[in-house]
Amino acid sequence: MFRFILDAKKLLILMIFIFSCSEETILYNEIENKEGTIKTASLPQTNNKLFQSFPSFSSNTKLHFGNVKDSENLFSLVQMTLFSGNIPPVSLVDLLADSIQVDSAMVFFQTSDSLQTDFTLGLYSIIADDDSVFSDSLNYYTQDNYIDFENNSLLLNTLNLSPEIVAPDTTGPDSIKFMFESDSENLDLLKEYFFDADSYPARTLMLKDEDGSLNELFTIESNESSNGPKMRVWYKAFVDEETTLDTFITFFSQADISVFVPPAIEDNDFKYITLNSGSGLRSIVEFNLDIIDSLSRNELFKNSNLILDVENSNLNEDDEFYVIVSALQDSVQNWGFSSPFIENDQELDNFSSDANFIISRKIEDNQVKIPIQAFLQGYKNGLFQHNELMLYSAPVNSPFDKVRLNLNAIEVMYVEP
Amino acid sequence: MLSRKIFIIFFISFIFPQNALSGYGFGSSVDNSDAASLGVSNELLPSFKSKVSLSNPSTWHNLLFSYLNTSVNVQNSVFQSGSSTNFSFSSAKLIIPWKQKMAFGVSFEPFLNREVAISDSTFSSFSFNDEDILFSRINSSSGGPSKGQLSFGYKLNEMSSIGTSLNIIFGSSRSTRNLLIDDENHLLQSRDYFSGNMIDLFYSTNRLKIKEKPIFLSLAYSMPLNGIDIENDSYQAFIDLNDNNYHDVDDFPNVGQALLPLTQNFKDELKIQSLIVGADYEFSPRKHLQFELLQLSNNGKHSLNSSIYGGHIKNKSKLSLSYIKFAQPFSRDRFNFKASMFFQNYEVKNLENINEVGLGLGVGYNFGITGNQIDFGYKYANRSGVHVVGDETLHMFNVGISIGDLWFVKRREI
Repeated sequence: MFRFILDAKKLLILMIFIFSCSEETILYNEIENKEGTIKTASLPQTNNKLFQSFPSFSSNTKLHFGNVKDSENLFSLVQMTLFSGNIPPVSLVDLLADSIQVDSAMVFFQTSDSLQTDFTLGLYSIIADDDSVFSDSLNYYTQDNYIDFENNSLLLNTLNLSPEIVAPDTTGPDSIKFMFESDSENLDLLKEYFFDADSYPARTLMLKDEDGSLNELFTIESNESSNGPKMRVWYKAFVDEETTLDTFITFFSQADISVFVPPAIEDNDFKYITLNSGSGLRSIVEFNLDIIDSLSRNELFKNSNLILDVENSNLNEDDEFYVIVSALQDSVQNWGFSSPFIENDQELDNFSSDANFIISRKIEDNQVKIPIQAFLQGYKNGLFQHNELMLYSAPVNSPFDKVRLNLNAIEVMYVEP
Repeated sequence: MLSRKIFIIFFISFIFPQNALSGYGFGSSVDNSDAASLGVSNELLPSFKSKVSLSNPSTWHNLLFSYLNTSVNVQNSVFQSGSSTNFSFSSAKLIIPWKQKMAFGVSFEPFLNREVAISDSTFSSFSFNDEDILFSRINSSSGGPSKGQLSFGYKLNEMSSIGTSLNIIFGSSRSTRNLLIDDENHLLQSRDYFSGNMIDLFYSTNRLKIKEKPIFLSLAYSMPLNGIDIENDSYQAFIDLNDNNYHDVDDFPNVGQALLPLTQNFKDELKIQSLIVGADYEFSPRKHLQFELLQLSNNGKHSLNSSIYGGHIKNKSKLSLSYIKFAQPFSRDRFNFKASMFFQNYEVKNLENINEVGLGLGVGYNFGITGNQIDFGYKYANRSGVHVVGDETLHMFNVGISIGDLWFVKRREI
């Protein structure tokens, strides 16, 4: 009897299990009131501001040369390391010791770029008393804060570059080599004005288009790249009367920068949303977002785009230009033009992006369409406090590219499930 | 160990049956949760064994053994041009009689059922920026509160008995509104947490007689001890970009950027009172005719508008007539046969009233010396006036098994 009851209990458990394993939802047709499920609105622009921020020269992995699109390259600076080699490290000054005989040297750079025209690249040594002659803050507008590089430099060597020498191929980057042959005048200059780090502690090289004739963009790899600038020195070290060490040492770069004259800020720029990273031109647009305050908590923004038409630009047919839009951490107080580099009586503004909304889109067919529903939803949820958006040129863009944009009204769509 | 298995399976299997009435108010009430009473379409009158109804504690003292009963339910709903079949757990009940004088019971069963979904039958088009956007909507709810019940029955004398049940209402339901736009689900989810207590009072007597044959009369009155309160947690709408039906960091807005859930408490949302009167007449040995009348009213505030339809059931009336033939204990006649018909009317606030007519059939088989029983119940019901749906036909099949044993009963008292 007990076994029978036990079997019955098992049967009971089995029944429950079997019948509990399946469930489906009945679907009945037709929900009423379709009106009001999807709504649209227009967000009018109430203000806009052009301002100048810190210039950005595209990717930090390149040093730029050439005069293009109303921009002019002044020079590039490369600071080399003071010590190199194994333990004990060899200082630049050590190469001037009596026990050392420098046979030759080579300052070399690498490029993945190509050239269309010839030009002459000059290599200078910065002759200054200071060991740190430039910083990341150096740009066209801040040159007064630094030494006069052009007048405190000495030409060490020149190199003629032509399309035959610099041509892209599959074997890797091309090398641009400044050779300092044995017993040459150039080598003596190098030893006197560069190796002598006691007299010229800057150990900084300046690269410059000697003729100013390069009318195209040419880049070489910078210190940020794995193929950055280097200097190799071959020398003999006399260890004792019978022992001579014939070897070489390589010095690496530790900092570099390109200094450009960016496109000029013109009166017409103020009529549009003007973007150029070389001059640091950015724009801020303010919108009337009052409608968002009146929405219910469950309205969701969709398909809401900031649509900007290109009024004019210096873009070539194949150029790509990305526009970045970001929310602001602080609201705009002064809607006039402001610049950190041009002295005026206005109090300068410092606008920072809110990391919670930064988005970029490419200009296509003379128009850029940037989805901003995340900003609108964030504003609605209290994530963003300010009804302004900042627009600027993406770091990936060429610093010489400049666009003027016209803003269409923002048509937004919002839905409530 | 066995009891642990049962416990676990009870909780993973508690899924409610579904029908169109689940879209009204806070869901449809669950009638005839055990298979034995489904065939007779009533609650109070004997259907499990002669003189015993599993739903009426004032009859439990007539049991000789303790019983563990559980039922499962299969429901087929036919509506408009579609149909759906669902399997679900129905009830679990443990009844312990003591010296044929009193009885105790514990049960667990669904209280309200909110399992339903309605959808647009076609996609609608919306034009924005010269682009046509197609959308459709699905509103659904699921789950529903459960009822834990502690019952006590007491035999006053040979003629009369009383009983009472304390009902503890608990559990939750979920509501989801889904706006489907270009294959993206826009979800608005909320959850209702139910809590409340109700008490049922039972009285049964067989003082009346017709032709020297007693008429079993039973009365039940159910009322709230305190109203059923609801805590509503409403979550901010989001676009379920990864289609997992859950608001997480991959959705828009992501869960970290969404507003916190809005919690609102609603007092006395449901205040259900009911009165049931039933009569059972044994016109021939083990053959009974039964009649039961139910009147239910809901005076809750219904301030929370979370139902699928914009209306709720305010009152319900039910009349049932049934015939039952019981098995003869300890003989070869081991079958109970049941047949019934019922009429039901739902008075719906804000919407059209619903009428329901139905038939019930049932058979029970006794086995074992302790009166184990397996019951099969079938109910056919046709509803008219259901919102959106119109007419709905239900086929419900319920299987219950009751295991009798000497649990908590001293063997020498048999």
